[in-house]
Amino acid sequence: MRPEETVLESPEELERLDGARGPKRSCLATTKRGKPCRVPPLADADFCPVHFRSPAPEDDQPPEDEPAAGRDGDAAGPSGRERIVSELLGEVERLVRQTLERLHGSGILTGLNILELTATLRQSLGKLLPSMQFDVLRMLKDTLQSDYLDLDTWRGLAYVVRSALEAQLEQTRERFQGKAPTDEYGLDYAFYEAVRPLVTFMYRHWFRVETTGIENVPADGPCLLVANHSGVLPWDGVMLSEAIWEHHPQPRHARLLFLKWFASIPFIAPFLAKTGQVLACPENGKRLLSQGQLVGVFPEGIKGIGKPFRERYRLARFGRGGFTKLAMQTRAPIVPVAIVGAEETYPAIYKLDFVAKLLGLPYLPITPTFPLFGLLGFVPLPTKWHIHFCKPLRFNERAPSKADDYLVVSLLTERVRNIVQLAINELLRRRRSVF
Amino acid sequence: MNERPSEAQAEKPVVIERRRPGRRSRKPAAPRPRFVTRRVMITGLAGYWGTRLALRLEQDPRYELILGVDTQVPTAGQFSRTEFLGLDVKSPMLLDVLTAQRIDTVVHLNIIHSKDKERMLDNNVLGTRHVLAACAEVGVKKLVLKSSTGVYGALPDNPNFLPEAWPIRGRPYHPYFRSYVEVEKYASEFLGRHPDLHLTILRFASILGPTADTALSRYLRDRICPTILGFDPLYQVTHEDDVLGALARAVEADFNGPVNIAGDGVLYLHRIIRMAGRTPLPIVTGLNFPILNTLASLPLVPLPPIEIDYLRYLWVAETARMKTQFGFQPLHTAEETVKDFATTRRVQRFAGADDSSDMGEYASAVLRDILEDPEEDDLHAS
Repeated sequence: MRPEETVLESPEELERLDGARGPKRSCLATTKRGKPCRVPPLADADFCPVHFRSPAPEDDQPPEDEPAAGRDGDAAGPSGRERIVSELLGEVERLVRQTLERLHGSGILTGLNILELTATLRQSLGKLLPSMQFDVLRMLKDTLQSDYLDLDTWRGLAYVVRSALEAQLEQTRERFQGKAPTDEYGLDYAFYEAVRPLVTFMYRHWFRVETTGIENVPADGPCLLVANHSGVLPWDGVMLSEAIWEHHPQPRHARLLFLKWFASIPFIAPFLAKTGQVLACPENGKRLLSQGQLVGVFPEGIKGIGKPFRERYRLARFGRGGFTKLAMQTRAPIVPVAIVGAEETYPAIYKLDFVAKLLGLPYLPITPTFPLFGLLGFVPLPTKWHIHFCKPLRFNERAPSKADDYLVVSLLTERVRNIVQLAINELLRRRRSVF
Repeated sequence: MNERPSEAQAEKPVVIERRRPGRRSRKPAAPRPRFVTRRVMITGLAGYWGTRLALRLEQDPRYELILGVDTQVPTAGQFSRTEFLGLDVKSPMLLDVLTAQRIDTVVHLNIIHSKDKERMLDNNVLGTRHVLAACAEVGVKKLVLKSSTGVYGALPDNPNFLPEAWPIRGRPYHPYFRSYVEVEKYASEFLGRHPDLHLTILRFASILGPTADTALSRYLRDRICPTILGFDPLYQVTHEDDVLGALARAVEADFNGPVNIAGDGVLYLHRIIRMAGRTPLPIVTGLNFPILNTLASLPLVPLPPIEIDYLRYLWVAETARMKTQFGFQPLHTAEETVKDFATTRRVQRFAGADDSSDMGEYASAVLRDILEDPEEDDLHAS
């Protein structure tokens, strides 16, 4: 229900509207607190939208009486409405009788007395407002006439519900009996499907991610996504893999390489493994790419994710170029990815380096909500995101032999970093608002 | 079957002479003749693996001598042709035995698990060193060591699949595992010094099976298995029969260096516990707090038989070398192994562990006299 006193528009606008219409009017009704309602009424009516109630079709009484009528109902004298209500009631009774007879035949609801039922119905209706009586009866009549009361409908529904429940139960039971299958990196498909709705929600409604250039991600074969890293918690990785699931014509599971530190964090470590991410190290990267998988890396690492707010969208050093070397060795195309919006999810005001070192954390940021609001501080700000996949850099057959050449590796690393930075700049230029 | 060039020499009466290791193989034989082992010594014969390996090698007529060495006397009457010698591996007599019996292959399985920490380290580490040195001295061609993938250590920065070349970083506080690490460190050094000796180091992932008593089976013995809150590492499992298969393969093949042995597939620890019909109990431990770790290492609370780090971080090994270079394919996947283990445990709970059908030769003969040949039961056919 809406509150009694509602200001619909700004006062200035109301003033302007009223001035155009003539003298200032206000709603004729009184609020629950007994004060006159100050909200301007609707056009061609004496009541504001809150107190306005559409008159029933057969209603011949003025609308002013309605709010004052109270809960007793106007049982004084047979009016047109009374007649209609009693007619409807009769029809509903007939329908109830019919339905019950039909149900009697099927052997259920045997203990129900029709007379008792109609009496209860009549009694309850008497407690309602006349207009509500009408609505309730009409609804009842529709219900009774529809196939809601058909036994087969309910049987079908029950079947659907039961099988859905059983499937859910079976899945839970299997999990508890240890039957959830995983792949060799620990990707638990059932678990991934279970957490995906949250990810999809964050993708579509929380961050409202806009994804462009998805066609630059190849449909098969090895591929290395190189993205900028930001935000205190790695939501950008989650959104990156979700973007491929959402938009790619042939979705693939992106294996994101996570920082070594995360492998030592309780709950996070098994969560990452179960969603198919692997630890960032050359051995894993090479193995994945030679298996033809889609691998995502964030070369900035801790430097990117833990940077203070004032350095947002300024790319940190791209590691030592380990990812470039991997791509050259396996000739996997590099797709630079620019992610805009993640920087503002947790604006880090200050970094408690000393405490972080004591606790063994790589960084401990102070954000407006963390640690002030405790766990609530983990909820990211609903910023508007944009993910852009740039054109891939492909390697020719001479690339693997040059993979140990430090100069080539560092030049290529710098080039990829430039592509990402330029794409970020462009996305920032187009961005209208953070939210 | 190719004959070794040294076979004729070996047939001569035994003369105990100091031989420089590796002298024979220096001759540049263009295609190296296939090395067929004949005379095998198994240290730790009375142990579970020693007994089972001897029984397995007995089936193969290529092994003309299977000699077991142990300080404990194995159960009498189980071997048909394995010879036993009550000898400590650290004894100087080992050299004499090796030369007198013309042993060309040594399978060192004398790694014991004991409550006495000093004795365990002494036997496992120094014993292995002694065996390795003795083998190099008398020119044994082949040495097989049993180790564990735990020697890589369970560390947060381990790659998903640890290759054999990965450094040995395990620093376990449990003396049993520590002896493996020390043995491995010595063995890798030894491998560099004696390139002509085939030293096969089999690094087994967690071993599980119906009968073997291993760290993982001890861990899964109780109804409630302690795990670390917030962690669920991936585990590799080797079936006990595959352990024997790999040992037999190592005796047969010429393979130099370490090789990881594990059944196909990885399983989350919680899943293993669930599959074994146990309940995981997550326990809070110090994440990065040295004080808590020290407290945990004190014998105040019963610790799980597997160390905390191994319940927390990844230590899965790459098995590509096992399949390609070593030429061994395990018969059981990780999932099958755990199922096999769980089924056996369940049956044992109902039937009791000692319902053996073996009633001895004499009694069997008496019954065979009066019974017709039994048909194969459908239950056992599968």
